[in-house]
Amino acid sequence: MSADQLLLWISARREGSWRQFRAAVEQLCGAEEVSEGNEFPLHKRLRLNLERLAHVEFFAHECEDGWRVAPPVLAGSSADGRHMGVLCGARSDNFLRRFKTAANDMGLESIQDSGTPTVLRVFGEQESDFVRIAAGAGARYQPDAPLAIILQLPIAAPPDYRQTEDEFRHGADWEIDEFQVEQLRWQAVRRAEASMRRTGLFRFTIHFQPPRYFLRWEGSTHEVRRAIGIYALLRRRRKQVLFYDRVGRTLALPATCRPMLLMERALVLCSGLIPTFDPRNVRLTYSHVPENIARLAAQILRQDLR
Amino acid sequence: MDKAGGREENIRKTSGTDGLNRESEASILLHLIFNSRGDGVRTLALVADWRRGMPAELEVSGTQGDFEFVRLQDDRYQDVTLPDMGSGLRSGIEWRGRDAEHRKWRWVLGGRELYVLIPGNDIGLSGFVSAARLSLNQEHLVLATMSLQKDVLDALADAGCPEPLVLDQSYPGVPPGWLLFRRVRPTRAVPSRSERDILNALCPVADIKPQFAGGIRLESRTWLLGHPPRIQFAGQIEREFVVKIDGIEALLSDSQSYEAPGWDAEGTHELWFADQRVSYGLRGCKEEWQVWNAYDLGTGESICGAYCHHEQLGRRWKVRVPSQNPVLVGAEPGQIFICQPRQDLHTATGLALVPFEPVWALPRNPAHLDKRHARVVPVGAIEPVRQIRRTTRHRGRDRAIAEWSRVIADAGRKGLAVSTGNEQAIALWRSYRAEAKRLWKAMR
Repeated sequence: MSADQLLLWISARREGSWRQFRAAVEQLCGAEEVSEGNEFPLHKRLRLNLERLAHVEFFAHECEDGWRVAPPVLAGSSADGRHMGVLCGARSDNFLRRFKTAANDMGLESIQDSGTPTVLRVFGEQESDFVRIAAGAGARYQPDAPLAIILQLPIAAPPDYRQTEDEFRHGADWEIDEFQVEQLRWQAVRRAEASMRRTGLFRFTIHFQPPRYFLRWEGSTHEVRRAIGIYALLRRRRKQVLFYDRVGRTLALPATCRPMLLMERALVLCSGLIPTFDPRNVRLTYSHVPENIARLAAQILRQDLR
Repeated sequence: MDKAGGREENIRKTSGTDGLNRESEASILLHLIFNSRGDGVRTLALVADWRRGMPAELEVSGTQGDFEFVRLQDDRYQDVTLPDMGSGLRSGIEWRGRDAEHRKWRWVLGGRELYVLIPGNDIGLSGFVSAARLSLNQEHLVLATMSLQKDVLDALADAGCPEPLVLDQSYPGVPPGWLLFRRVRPTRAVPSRSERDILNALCPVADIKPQFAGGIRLESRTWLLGHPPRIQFAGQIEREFVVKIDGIEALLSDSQSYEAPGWDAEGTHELWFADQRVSYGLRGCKEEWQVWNAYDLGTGESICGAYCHHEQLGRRWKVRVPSQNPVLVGAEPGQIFICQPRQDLHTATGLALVPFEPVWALPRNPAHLDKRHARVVPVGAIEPVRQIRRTTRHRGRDRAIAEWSRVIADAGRKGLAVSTGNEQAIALWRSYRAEAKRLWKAMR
C-alpha cells in the first residue's frame, strides 16, 4: 500500500529532488523493514523498482538532480500470439478509475508486492484493444515496449583509444573496492594497488553520494557506468553469466552483474514483474522473457546465452 | 532534583560565542523507529534542523567524530547515527561546521538522562521524535537512564498513564544503561515541579494541540485529495470539547478522527477548536504529465518511461519489421521506406519509425530469393478498400513512384506468397500488384 501511496505522491508532485523523494519514502513507507537478503535499503529499492517499472526517471536528462514522473503508458508486449500490456508511469485516483473502466471487458490483473506499486496488467488477443484502453484512460500505448527499448541500447563495449582518460577521485575518505571477476563480488583494495592494476574495475564510495566506477583498461583509467565496466571485464575473461531457460522463458544472472537500467526496464516489461532474488545463489531471475529479447540482451552485454 | 539541561548549560558555557549568533544555532532531534515486527528498534538516530541560509550539504565535526550533513527535508538534514548513542545522549552533542562562505553553524542537543518522544508523522517523519514534554491523550515513548526508572514510573503514574512496558538493553536497539518505556499515554495534566527539574518533561500540560496524522501530504498543511489526514487532538480534552470544520461541528469517526460534512473536499478548510483556528487543505492531482527526452542514446529516438518517441515533429508510425523484409511500402505510390537495421545486433525482428502508414514489408531483392521461404508481410491494419492514386509530376517523386512500383512488381513476378494467408490480405496484395504494374507501364 505504501508504494502505491508513494507513486500517487510522485504523480501529484510531478518532479522533485532526491531529498524530497527520500523524505517521502521516510514518511509514507518508513515503518517498513528492509527485508533480509535484500541488497539495498528501502529507499534505494523503491527507487530501483520505480525506474525498472518505468514509473519514474531518476537523474536523467531534465531531472539531473532528482526525479520526474513519466507519463502514463500502456507498455505492450506479445508472446505466442497473446498480447499483454503493463501500466507504467504516473497515476492518480481518477486515472486509475478510467483505466479500470476501459480495461473492464479484458483480462485485468492486479499484482501487489511490498516493494513496488500495484502492477496492473491487461491481456488480450488484439493489439487494437490495447490502443483503445490506453486512449480511454488518457494514456499512451507503446507497442513492443521491451523490443523498442532494448533496440535503443548501445553495445556494452569497453573504452577505446579515442576516449579521454579520467583520474581516480582524490581524497583519503573514498572507500575503494575492486570487482573480483571470478568470485563476482566487490573486495576492498588500497588506492596504491588500484593504481597499479593494468585492468580492473574499481568502485569509489563516499558518504551519502552515489558510487563512482573507474575502469582500468590497457593501463588507462576511464570513469564508466557500473554495468559497462562489469561486462567489459567479463567479456575479457570470457566468463559467461547469463542463463536462459527456453522452456520457462526466464533469464537469470548474478545479482552483482545487474545490467544497465534501461535493459532491466526492457526485461521487466516483458512480464511487468521485478526480478526475483534468490539469496542462496545470489541470482536475479527475470520472468517471461521471450527468446529474441534474451538474445538481444546477451548481444548487447557481449555474452553468450546459455 | 535539579538535573534539567545541566550538560546543555555546560556546552553553552564552554563553547562561547565564537562568531556564532542565534540564527546560526539550531537544534537536534532524537529519532526512533521500530522495526516492522515491533520486536526491536530499527533506527535510533539524530536529526539536525535545517534553517534558511544553511547549505544543503555540510561537513561537521563534534566530540563523537566527523559527519556529513545532507539536507533531506525542507527543514532538516538526514539522520545521523552515533556509534555510542547512549553516551552521546547522556553527555550532550554539539556539532560545528563551516560552509563555503565561511559562515559558522552549530547544532546542540543538551545532554540529559530523559527524553520524551512523540509520533513523528505531524512533522513528516516516521516513528517517534523527541519533544519537550508529554502531551495528554497521545501515545509516547520515554527513553531514560536506568537510575531514573523509579522516578519515571512514579511520574507516569501521576500523569494517569496505564502501566508502561519497560524495555532494557536486552531489547534490540536500546542503548546500554538506558530504558525504553512504551505504551505511555498520559490522561491527566500535572503541574510542573521546580523550575529545572528534568521530570517536568513528564508533566503533561492541559494545552490542546491538533495533530494531522497519515494521508498523503503534498506540502506542510496540504494533502492529496482522496488521501486526507486523520484529525486528532492532544491535550486536556474535556467532555464538552467542540471541534468545527468550516463552521460545522465535527464528530469523532470510527478511526478516532474528527470529521464533518465536506471536511475532505478539495480546497482549504478551517479547523476550529478551543478558541483556536488552524487551516489545512486538500488538492487534487493535476494530470499534466509530459513526455520528454529522458534518455537520448543517439538512435534518433528517445526513451521516457516505457515510451520511445522520435525527436522529429510530425506523425510517425512504429512498425515491427522482420529483418528479412526491410522494405516498407505504403498505400500511396512513392511511399517507400528501407529500414536500416543495426549492424551490431542480429535480430529476427526490428522496429522502424516510418513517415507514412506502411501496408507491406517486402524483401530487398526478391528476384534472388527462394520463394519457398521468402514472403510478403502485411504490416499495420489490413484495409482491402484502399485508394491508390497518382500525384502530380516531380522528379524525386517520380523516382520514388518508380521504386515503389518496381519492388511490388518484383515481388509479384517472383510469386512470393502473403505470409498470413488471409484472403483479404491476398486480395489487397493483388490490387497493389495491379496498380504497380499499371504505373510501371505508364512510366516507361
